[in-house]
Amino acid sequence: MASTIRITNAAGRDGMVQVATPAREPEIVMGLPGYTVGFRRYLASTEGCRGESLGAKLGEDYSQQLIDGDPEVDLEHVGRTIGETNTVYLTAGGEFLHCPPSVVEVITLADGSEKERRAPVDLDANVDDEHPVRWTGRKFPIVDAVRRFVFRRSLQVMHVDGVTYDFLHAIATELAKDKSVMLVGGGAKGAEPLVFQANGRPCRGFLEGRVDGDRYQLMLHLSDMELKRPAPKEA
Amino acid sequence: MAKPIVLEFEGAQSSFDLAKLDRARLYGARKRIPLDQSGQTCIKASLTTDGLYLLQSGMTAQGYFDEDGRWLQRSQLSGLDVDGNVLELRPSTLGVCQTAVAVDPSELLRYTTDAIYLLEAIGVDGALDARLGAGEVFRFGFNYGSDFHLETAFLIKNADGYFCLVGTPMLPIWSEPGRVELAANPEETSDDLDFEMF
Repeated sequence: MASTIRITNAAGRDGMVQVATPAREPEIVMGLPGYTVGFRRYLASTEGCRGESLGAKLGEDYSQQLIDGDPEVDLEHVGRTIGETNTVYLTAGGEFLHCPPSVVEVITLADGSEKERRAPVDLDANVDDEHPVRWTGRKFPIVDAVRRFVFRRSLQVMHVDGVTYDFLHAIATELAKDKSVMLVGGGAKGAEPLVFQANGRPCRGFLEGRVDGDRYQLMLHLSDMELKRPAPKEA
Repeated sequence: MAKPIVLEFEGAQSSFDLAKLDRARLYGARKRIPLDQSGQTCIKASLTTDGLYLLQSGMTAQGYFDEDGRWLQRSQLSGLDVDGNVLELRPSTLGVCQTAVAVDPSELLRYTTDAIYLLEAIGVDGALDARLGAGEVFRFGFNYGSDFHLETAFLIKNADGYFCLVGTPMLPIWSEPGRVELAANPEETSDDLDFEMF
């Protein structure tokens, strides 16, 4: 995702600004006081010790053999730390693929039923330093917005020089005065949801401003979900 | 079924059953599936970078280890704050009365929402219901299970009913004239799903 975006104001003027994910409170870590504790991924079983392999090697009823000889534990390998890995795809029979897999896109409805299978439809990003995030003029009072949309991600919009400071401070001031958030969008008319990376999740963007003298906070809140009740399941 | 959320506001109690709500339950979902030459769904696996292990589902585990490489049970561990101090394990708040505090709706915008619950009222105090209906937002402590910190939740009401949003506070900085913060690259977003909000 780009950390530099272009954004327009109410007059349609655009400027290049930067966005960043605001800091969060430090996470709680699990440990022992006074000791260094590490969390790691390790090998718990080898290919030959998986249930299917043991069944093929020892027969279907091998429970007693597990007790007697621990054939499910490969002492040579089990416990080794697993570092970086690459994702690979195997055929349904467990063989290596010798050509890239074909990909199908499965659309499911809200009730979990499959609606259709189709060739994947790629989605281009529409937020970068070339395509501006556009001011739509559509404001929502904060009191309504927080009860209508779920904001699962927010970015802080910040100036990069004196000119963009004035530009963003003015936007924040206007929004703070109205106690509203402004819907912003992508595309030529700003009607499209924001897509920050190719095939990324489209989100509606809402600008919120706070001002304290000559200081400001301009937040871009992202929402991909409304606060509403799921449709009742059909009997 | 989980115990209810129980809230106290101005001396009166209200309680709500809760059910987790996610995007797929509202709009459905979109998923890309790789297929092999015969049209069967591929098995996803991982290959270690040294090529030594081909890891399929169930072949790895993860855990905590001390400096000598000894495996530690989770029950041996404690939650530690940034200074290394031991934190107290807090029990679930479900079924336990929590105090609800009215807050400015804009406070919710200082949290990123991690979990959403659709609530069904078991019994709602009239005063609380009236204020929720007028658009007020209420904050309370929430832990679905026991945890080393108490999460923050918000109770709201709209035309579709009551909702509980559990969030993590953000700490945005103030932007000032003459001072340019260097933005770190924001984290990646996952890629899937359709969008049908408007």
